[in-house]
Amino acid sequence: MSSNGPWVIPQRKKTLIVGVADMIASNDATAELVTYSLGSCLGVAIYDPVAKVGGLLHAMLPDSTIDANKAVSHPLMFIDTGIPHLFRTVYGLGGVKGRLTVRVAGGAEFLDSEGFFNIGARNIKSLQSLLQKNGHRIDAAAMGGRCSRTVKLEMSSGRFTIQSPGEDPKLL
Amino acid sequence: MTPEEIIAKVKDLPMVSETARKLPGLLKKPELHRDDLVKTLRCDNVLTAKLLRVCNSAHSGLREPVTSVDQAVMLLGDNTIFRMVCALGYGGAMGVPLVGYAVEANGLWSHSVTTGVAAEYLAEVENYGSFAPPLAFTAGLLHDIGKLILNQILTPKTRSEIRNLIAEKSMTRVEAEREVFGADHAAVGAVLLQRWNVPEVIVQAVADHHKPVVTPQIELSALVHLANCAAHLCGSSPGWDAYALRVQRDLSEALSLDVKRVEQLLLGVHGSLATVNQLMAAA
Repeated sequence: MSSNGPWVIPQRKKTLIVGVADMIASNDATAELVTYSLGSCLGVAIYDPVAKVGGLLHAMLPDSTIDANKAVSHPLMFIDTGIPHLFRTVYGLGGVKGRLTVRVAGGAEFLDSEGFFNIGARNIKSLQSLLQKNGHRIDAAAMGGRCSRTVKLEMSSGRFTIQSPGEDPKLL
Repeated sequence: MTPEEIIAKVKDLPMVSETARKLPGLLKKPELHRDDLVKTLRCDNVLTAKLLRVCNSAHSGLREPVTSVDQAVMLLGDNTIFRMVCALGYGGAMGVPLVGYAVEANGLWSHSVTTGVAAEYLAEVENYGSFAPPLAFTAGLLHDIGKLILNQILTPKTRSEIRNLIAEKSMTRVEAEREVFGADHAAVGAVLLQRWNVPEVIVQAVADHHKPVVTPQIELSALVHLANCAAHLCGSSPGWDAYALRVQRDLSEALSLDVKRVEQLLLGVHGSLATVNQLMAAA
């Protein structure tokens, strides 16, 4: 029995799914933001524990300069255009710069020696330099390796969990 | 074990209907013939019903409801209908969860359709090789079918052996499978498809999709290899060890790839994936 007694039905969690090249920002405490199967893509979660607002971005490529049209039509596809969108939207919901935590997952790599296909490493590099330039730092991360990762950001608590196929979820 | 021995050991071969098994055979002719397609589908009410349901879903963009295969082919075109029935025909068998690979229900199916669409895009839009779009799609769709067989002989013990080889010895998935079983999912899949009389060019592409034949003409195996990598990089990565694969070294040179070109190809592939999502949503 919950501490509220038998008559209070607990509020159901709303699961909002963030697709590839997509982002969701929220101030709804009943929501949880989920993005599936991050491989070389990066899942970037920012959260303000005081205002209880945050957002989750699933970006695929490091740099929008490869396609000027897509940079405008699909800014969330790229780290360099998606990250500013994410921060701006969360600021708009009441997030405050000094309070935001930044957690990241993804950036997996093939066993590729040539490097043309190591999108994961390029994504990580692009994110790190962008955050540094703007005075942010990554508070926690699970990046690289060969596994895919599904991540979840709970808006009520800011809990950020990572799960790889066949493994238990881990708190980051 | 040889691939044949592995297949003999397995109790349940993938449940694929007679019609679905015949579909790749239609590609033996240089071009897909509409009459062949319609005639083959006429023998399978279940597949026809699935096709019409997808055609009549909100995503297809048709104004009037479709009531027959002939009408569907006329309105959406041979290649689109072929792609739909192939994806649907193998969907039941590929939709099962693969415990041995830590792949959830529909994970392999979704990755297979994504790879098929990526291969079709690379052949049709980027002009890699000279393959008819349905041939490229089918080879991509079937590339991992051997996983359905190997999954059944993977025990917790062999699974952790493979995991350790990948994690500690930096082996690829197929290298680890060969080390543990003597054959990998690519070889097993190719033998299975050969038994189903799938055209040899597809069988070969499936067999070689992790070690493609790289020639200036671009073989189908190289196209599927690239499409598989692209599918993974576009977010279709089921399984724990999804990235335990090696990109063929001389591929980049043969296809004139560099950092920028790879990223542009990924953008193009990602743009063509709307059809996968539509199909998945409606099926």
